[in-house]
Amino acid sequence: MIRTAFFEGLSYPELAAQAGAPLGSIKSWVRRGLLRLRECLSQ
Amino acid sequence: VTDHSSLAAEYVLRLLEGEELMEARRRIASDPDFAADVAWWEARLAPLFDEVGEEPVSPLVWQRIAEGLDGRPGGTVVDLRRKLIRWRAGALAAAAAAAVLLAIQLRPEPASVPVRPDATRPAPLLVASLAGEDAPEALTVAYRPETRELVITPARIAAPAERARQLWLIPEGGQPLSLGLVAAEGVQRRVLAPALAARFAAGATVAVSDEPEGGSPTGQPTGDVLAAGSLSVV
Repeated sequence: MIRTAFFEGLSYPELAAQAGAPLGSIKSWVRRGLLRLRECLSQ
Repeated sequence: VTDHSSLAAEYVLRLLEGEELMEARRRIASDPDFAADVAWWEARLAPLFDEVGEEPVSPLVWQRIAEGLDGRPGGTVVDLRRKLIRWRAGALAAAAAAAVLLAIQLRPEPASVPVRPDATRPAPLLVASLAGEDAPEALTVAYRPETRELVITPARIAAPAERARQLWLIPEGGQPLSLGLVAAEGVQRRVLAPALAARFAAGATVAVSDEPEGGSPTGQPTGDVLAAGSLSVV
């Protein structure tokens, strides 16, 4: 989803529309993903 | 802090709209920590903007990602992992494409112009050091292809009365070719005829033979080989 946001340049509302999921869920999924991505990229 | 950072990431990924986007922009201007977070994410995500230029992520990073994904069953996570694999595959494919493009670009153009001798590079020199196993003869031979010049430096040449020392070039798998007589003393220089010069190559043998005064009457060595050595490039 981060990839989609990134490569397709979608915003949260657009992602939510595309995934057919509530905006809040999309936001929390992406945020969790970003935080884990950050952990992976840190060091 | 975590909220802080994910907002920065969301900003970099252009996920934000409306009020959140305004808020992020305000904080970039007013909050140095937040601006630093934005820079951090930009630095890490920017390579993805051009997949072609992406660098391979260290195996450690992939391992941590994989560990994070494993043991977390659930549609979303599995889906994410599949996306991750596709993401990686896409990056690899792009990298391969970039490599191909680079290879095409780097492929040398067909040489339509004869290669000019490089003036800055010293011309190669062929050198042989000749020593005899049984005879005391010793000399060095240097040949400069550029000028077809042969320089013979005798270290120890002793010719009995009415005998001569003759120098030969023996190309690999070829017959001996006379390079002329060798005087016992002094550096001797001679410029070779092109046909003879063409036979000089690394790996060829240079030898000195014992010949009658005036040199071999047959054009081939008739006496003992007193010293020999092979040519090498210096």
